[in-house]
Amino acid sequence: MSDFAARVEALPLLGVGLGYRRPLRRLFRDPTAPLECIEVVAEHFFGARAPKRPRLFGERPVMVHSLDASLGTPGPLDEAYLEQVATVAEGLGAVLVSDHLAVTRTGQVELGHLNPVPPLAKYVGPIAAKIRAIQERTGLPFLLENITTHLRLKGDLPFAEFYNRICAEADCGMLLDVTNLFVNCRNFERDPLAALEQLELSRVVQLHIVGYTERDGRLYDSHRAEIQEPLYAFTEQVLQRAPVRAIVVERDGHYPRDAVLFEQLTRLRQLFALAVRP
Amino acid sequence: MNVVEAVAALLSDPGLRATFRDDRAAWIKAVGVDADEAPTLQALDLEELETQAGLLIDKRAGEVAELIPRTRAGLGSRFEPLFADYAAGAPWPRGHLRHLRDATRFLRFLQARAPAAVSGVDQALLRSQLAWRQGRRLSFGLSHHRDTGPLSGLVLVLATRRGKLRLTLPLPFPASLGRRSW
Repeated sequence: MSDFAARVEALPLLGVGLGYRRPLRRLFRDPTAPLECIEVVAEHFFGARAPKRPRLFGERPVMVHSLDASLGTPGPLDEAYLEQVATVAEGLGAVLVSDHLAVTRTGQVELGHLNPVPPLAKYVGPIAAKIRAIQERTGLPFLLENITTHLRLKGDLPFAEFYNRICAEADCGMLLDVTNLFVNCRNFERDPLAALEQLELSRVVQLHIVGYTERDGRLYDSHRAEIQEPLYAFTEQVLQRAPVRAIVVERDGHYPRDAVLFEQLTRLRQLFALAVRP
Repeated sequence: MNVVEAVAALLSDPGLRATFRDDRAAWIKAVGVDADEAPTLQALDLEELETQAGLLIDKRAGEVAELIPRTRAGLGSRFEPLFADYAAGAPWPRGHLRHLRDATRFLRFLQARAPAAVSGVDQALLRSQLAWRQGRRLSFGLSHHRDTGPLSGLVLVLATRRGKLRLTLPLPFPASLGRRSW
């Protein structure tokens, strides 16, 4: 058994949760909220103070999700950044950490958001080495997330093979963003299920999901919409194929009424229960 | 320059994209990308490049809009073009406070372009959040209303990360002063 497999086996079933955002604080205080786990954005806890686990998190397991490791940028991992992520993970008692297969910055340019990495075989090793460093420093399983992109970069590997090889070489898991995969496939006229089946699904530990928005015939992962029916259906397919331990709804704006959000969380719990729980 | 740096440069600079569009081969040769990485640049779809670059600006504007909701509402349909003007001359700040710093700089930009839309409450809350994230406890902002009848006066806003206190001291400001914020 690989180190990663052993680490994941030690994880409890984390369940369905929500990304922690300040405007949603009341939900985390609500004992009736169908929240089994919590994902925090690491950068929201960066700062001068040592991060403390907010009382409103209760006993729920916490996952730390960072946005700006920029793993696809050639060169060494930003050690100061890694130290901050590790401090947050320790402070909050996280059970796993994650970031994206993406570029957010280079030495010269701050892009501010997630951009694709050219799927070149020569980049597999360096990216995997950075992930191994994160796992070593934090002592936690690391999950690598797929992004949505409107720019296709050609390389010498198909994207799925690139993603699979990095995760295998790093011995890490996948955080499969079902919305991102679905949006990319719809925008580039691919079958989401066929794209899914090209991934090494035994490594999928966590899912992200949120509704997409549509403009001029193109889908956008805006994090500001309710989950649509095709996404529930796609999630059901993923759950039948992958050993998922957690599903997190990632909402970043246009927050709906609590009841609407609860309904989405409850529906995901039902899907999760049918597919994963004994 | 490697291909990641080359794509990042293209995404962040409309001028470079124009040069790339005009003569792709010359641009690739000029930046000196490794031979095994050049095919990635040769295969770039120009429309996709523009879409992704536009999306980065939209995301940036969206983050700022969330931080200054009153100013955003005050600007209405002027928000997007004003933000585009601002972004064209101001690269993203670096680091985990970049959204707060970006919003602060955008408000500063607006002081010259649309001062009446700048919300003192947004300013105070931004300062408070920045102060908190930097390890300080309190911050405050000041603004005064324009000529809005009985509520015209000096509005003091004291903001902490837990909320804000807003006091209005009625004072007969001349309308010519307009609205200012500190």
